[in-house]
Order: sequence, then structure tokens, then C-alpha cells
Amino acid sequence: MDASPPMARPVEHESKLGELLAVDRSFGAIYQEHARAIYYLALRILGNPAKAEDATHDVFLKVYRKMDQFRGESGIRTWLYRITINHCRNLLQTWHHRHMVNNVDEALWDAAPAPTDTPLRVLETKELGQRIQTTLDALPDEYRLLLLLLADEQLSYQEIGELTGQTPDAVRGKLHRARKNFAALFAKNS
Amino acid sequence: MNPEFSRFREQENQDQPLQSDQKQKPSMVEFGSVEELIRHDAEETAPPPELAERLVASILREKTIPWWKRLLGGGDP
Repeated sequence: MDASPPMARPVEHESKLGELLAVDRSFGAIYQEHARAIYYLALRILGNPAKAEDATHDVFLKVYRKMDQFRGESGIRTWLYRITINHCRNLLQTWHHRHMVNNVDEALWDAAPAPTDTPLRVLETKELGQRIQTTLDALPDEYRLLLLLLADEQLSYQEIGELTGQTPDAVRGKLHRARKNFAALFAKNS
Repeated sequence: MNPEFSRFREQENQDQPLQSDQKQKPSMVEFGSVEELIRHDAEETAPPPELAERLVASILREKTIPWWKRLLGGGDP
């Protein structure tokens, strides 16, 4: 499965954004600011660029329909992520897609020599995205989502807790193990 | 989440201009955390440009669907 989408052509992309802004200015602005993050989250959850494109399209169409329902109780990025996570989960359930390592033996990761305080060194190649995808696919769903959300600097622990249905302290508690598991698998995939 | 982590840094050939007959080799990069690695990947990953075009088409189509049909689920993706 190719999880490395082609790079966007900037000029063409800008003109399409202009069209979107012309159709609805506030919606266009939301798309402009958050489309990259939403697409990336969908891509790494679903593991397929074409499916991620479809999912991002459907998510933003839902957002367009529900914009008047956004009450600002959470940040808009959190709201968008919630819609994206639910949409991707529904897709995965429908497809019976997940047959990767979801019931991993935690003891295996605990024994793995992958301390989280050592830097991750990689040769930067086009395959980096594929390697990250392979690593994320092998993680338990909860850890995968946690790491993807933590990587977004716009989100607080409180917001990540709301999105994953747990307290901020629980998020912090699971972070170490999620990092360790990722690092062990990432090294294995090198 | 961790602003104190340094940005990734190039380990090789950063300040050396390439000779025209030299092939560019992938450089070794270092990330201070898993989040930093993922963040870098996210920055390098853009949504396809066709996506905005598809959305414009869907929204314009949406505007032509009567409200009662939308209520009954017509036009759902």
C-alpha cells in the first residue's frame, strides 16, 4: 500500500483554494487553515492516500453542513479532529479494515531496547512517510491516535483527553509507553 | 507539545555546496522525539490539489438540493 501521497502543485492548489473562498469565505478560510492537518490525520489513520482524500472531502462537507452548529465550546481544530476521528473509525469498521497488530503483547514492547530519550536518526528519503505509516499501523489504535494528536502543537493535553475520552493525566501517563512502542517499531522497520 | 525540543538538524553536508557532477545523497536527520518526527512528516505531506476542486463541486451541488431532500439524507457523501 503506497502511503506516500504526491506533493501538491502550489499554484494550482492556490487557485482551487480561491474558488473555495469564493463559494463561502468563512468555510474557505477554515479549509485553508486546517485541511493539511485533517488530511494528514486521515492519511495516517487510514493508511491510504486515496481513502484519505475521500475522507477529508467528506469531513469538510460535513463541516460545511454543520458550521452553524459549532458553538465554540472547544477549539475549531478539536471540533474538526472529532469529526475526522469518528468518520475514519466508521470507515474502518465498515471495511473490517484493521487486521494489523492490535492485540500486541505489551510485555514485548516493555522489553524492547528503545529508550525514549535517544534521538531518532533517519536518512531522509521519500520512504520516510511509508516507514512512519508502517510503524503507526503496527501500534495499538489508541497509541497511534495519541501520538498523531500529540504531534499537533495546537492541541493541549486537555483537548487530546477530550478527543480520546480520557483525562489529561491519563494522556500523559500513556505517552511514555506510546513513544517507547513507536521507537522500538520504528527502529525495527529501518 | 514540546517546544524545547530542537528542530531536526542536518547531520551531513549542510554547509558544503554540491558539485555539479555530484549526486545528491539523502542526508541524515535527527529528531528529538517521536512527535517531532511525525510533525516533520505532516509538514511534508500536503493534501492533493484536486481535493479543493472536489469540495467546490460538492458544495455547489449541495446548494441546488432542496432542504427537504437534504433532511431525508439526499446528497450525503
